[in-house]
Amino acid sequence: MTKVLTAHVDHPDSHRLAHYRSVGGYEAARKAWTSMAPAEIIGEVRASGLRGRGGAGFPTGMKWGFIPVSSPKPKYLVINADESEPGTFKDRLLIERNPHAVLEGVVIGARAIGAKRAYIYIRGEFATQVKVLEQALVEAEEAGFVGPDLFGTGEGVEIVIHRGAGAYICGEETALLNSLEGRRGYPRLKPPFPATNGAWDCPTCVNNVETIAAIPWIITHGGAAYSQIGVFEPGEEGKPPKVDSRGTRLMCLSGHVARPGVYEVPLGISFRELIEDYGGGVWKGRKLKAIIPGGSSTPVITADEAMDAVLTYEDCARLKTMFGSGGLMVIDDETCMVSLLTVLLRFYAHESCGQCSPCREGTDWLYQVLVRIRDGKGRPDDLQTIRDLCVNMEGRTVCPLAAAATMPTISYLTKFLPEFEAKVSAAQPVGVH
Amino acid sequence: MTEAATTLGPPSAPTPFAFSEASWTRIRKLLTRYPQQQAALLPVLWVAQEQVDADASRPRQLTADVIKAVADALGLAPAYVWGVATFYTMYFTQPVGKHLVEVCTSVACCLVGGEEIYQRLCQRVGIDPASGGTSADGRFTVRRAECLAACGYAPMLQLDNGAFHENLTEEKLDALIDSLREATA
Ligand SMILES: Cc1cc2nc3c(=O)[nH]c(=O)nc-3n(C[C@H](O)[C@H](O)[C@H](O)COP(=O)(O)O)c2cc1C
Ligand code: SF4
Ligand code: FES
Repeated sequence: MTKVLTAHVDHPDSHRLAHYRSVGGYEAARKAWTSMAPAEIIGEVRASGLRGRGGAGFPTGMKWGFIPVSSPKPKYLVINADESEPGTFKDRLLIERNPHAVLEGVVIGARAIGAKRAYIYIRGEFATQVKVLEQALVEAEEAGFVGPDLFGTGEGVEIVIHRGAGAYICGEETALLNSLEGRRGYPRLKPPFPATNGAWDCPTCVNNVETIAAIPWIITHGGAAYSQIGVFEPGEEGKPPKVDSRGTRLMCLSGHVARPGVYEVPLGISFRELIEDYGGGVWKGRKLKAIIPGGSSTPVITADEAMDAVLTYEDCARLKTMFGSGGLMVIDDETCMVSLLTVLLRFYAHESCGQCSPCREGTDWLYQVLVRIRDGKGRPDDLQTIRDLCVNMEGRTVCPLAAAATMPTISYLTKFLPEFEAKVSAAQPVGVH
Repeated sequence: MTEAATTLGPPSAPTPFAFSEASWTRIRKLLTRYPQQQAALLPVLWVAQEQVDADASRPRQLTADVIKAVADALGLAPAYVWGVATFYTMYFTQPVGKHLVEVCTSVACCLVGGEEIYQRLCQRVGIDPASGGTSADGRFTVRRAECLAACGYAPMLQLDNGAFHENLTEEKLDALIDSLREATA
């Protein structure tokens, strides 16, 4: 099976330049800089079918194409290494074990969009990981693979590693840009979009670590080769494709699974294969109850739904969930969904940036109501209160964090309603309200 | 507001904070990397915090004099710097004990015992798990952390904004607490 991102990560020196060079490292960058026009690079990425791996799944080639070719202002490439979505730990693996693929992807991406400077925004908690990345950057600079003059072209790119300081919301791309500018990490209203008005109001492209790390492979082997991995079904004449899930993805398995960890898999394999063959099945010989497919913000699916589904953007949409960030959490049949949802909502209450009232107040109320239900003090109308809160939060905020709390909430309430009802009806009266 | 007012009060160190020559070298380099000076604020706060942390004579906190030094270095107002610093969880805007121990209690960790690790840690060092905080002897500050991208190696904790301790068990946790106690005895 083709591994695009992790073919060499088991080597003890996989993070060092010498090893990366020995497996062909930086030859894609040389090719891009010396024999390809920017439009050609973008063309290959378009042809690959690569979609952003940060969560939203937006086609990467198209995103690069949005950056104006000629601009009086400087252009920036920004790499999102904020990885904070609960359940997700893949970008960390790439930074620790394959940092040069990330840097080489940046060098190629910068040429494609015409950026002279790129920033890698890495979450502050990655204190150890940032050192690995910094060491890789120094190595690449010293070898002339990153810097002002690349491959004798007289042009180049400077890469700056920028460390955050703890805030989930800085993974949202406009919050990230504010944080990069030395502000509080408040998401910005869109439009305008970063492609025209991003960092310092200049054209900016934000890409996830896993997305950018796939670029060297695509340039080496061609977009067509990448698009052969995974699944693609063209649509009818003039219509978008029916299935557009190409390439490999890093799937992060955690929770009640026998062999947790990061696995690179081709898109289109079944959830069953991922969990059973790769992950060794549910731990302790227990049964599967449910899975969270792509980070805590994605709606939960039941074991039955999961076992019939495949890893594509389309199958996730069919099940009214999302592929998200690849953070798949396995939940066994001894798990209390009320407790699980309570823990999940504590996260959003903690991480709301506080800019919009519906989100700031709503995430906290959701959490408080869930705590009360979990602790056996729920009131009969609490489930309706939760639904009302969700309706009043979703779509009324600057960024999607509010929806990232409400969508899963509704999914637990819908799919595991009896558990919630039992908790509420078993509750002791707590006086007159 | 009250939080800012109290913490931005008089400097708690005998000598006001000043960046060392080594820190200035780092700051000057940082300033070349951004089109605007303000953008260096997060990195310069890191430089300041690291210098504070390395200086045993100073409290482990970004006191008002530290905030002022950062503001002066970047031509910003101290209130602005404080406003930004308080947005992020990793800057020491509150006093921190000799060791900062943050246990992840997000969903993937809680599925496999993260909450139990947090509770045990609080109990062992004498901190109320409902609030977290600093132990009476000032040795430990314990907090819940949200997901630290170690979900497959759960339960886990982060020590002093640095190393991850993963695949924790009660025994491993106890051994860690003991070794930290010895180190700061
Ligand atoms: C609340 C929130 C948190 C996000 N966190 C991350 C993150 O940690 N890492 C990431 O790459 N993208 C994150 N995203 C998605 C980014 O906004 C953005 O879409 C992505 O970085 C684009 O890169 P891609 O096209 O390569 O996926 C988040 C989005 C939202 C709304
Ligand atoms: S939705 Fe929430 S996180 Fe997003 S901008 Fe509004 S308050 Fe901040
Ligand atoms: S949930 Fe604890 S590290 Fe991700």
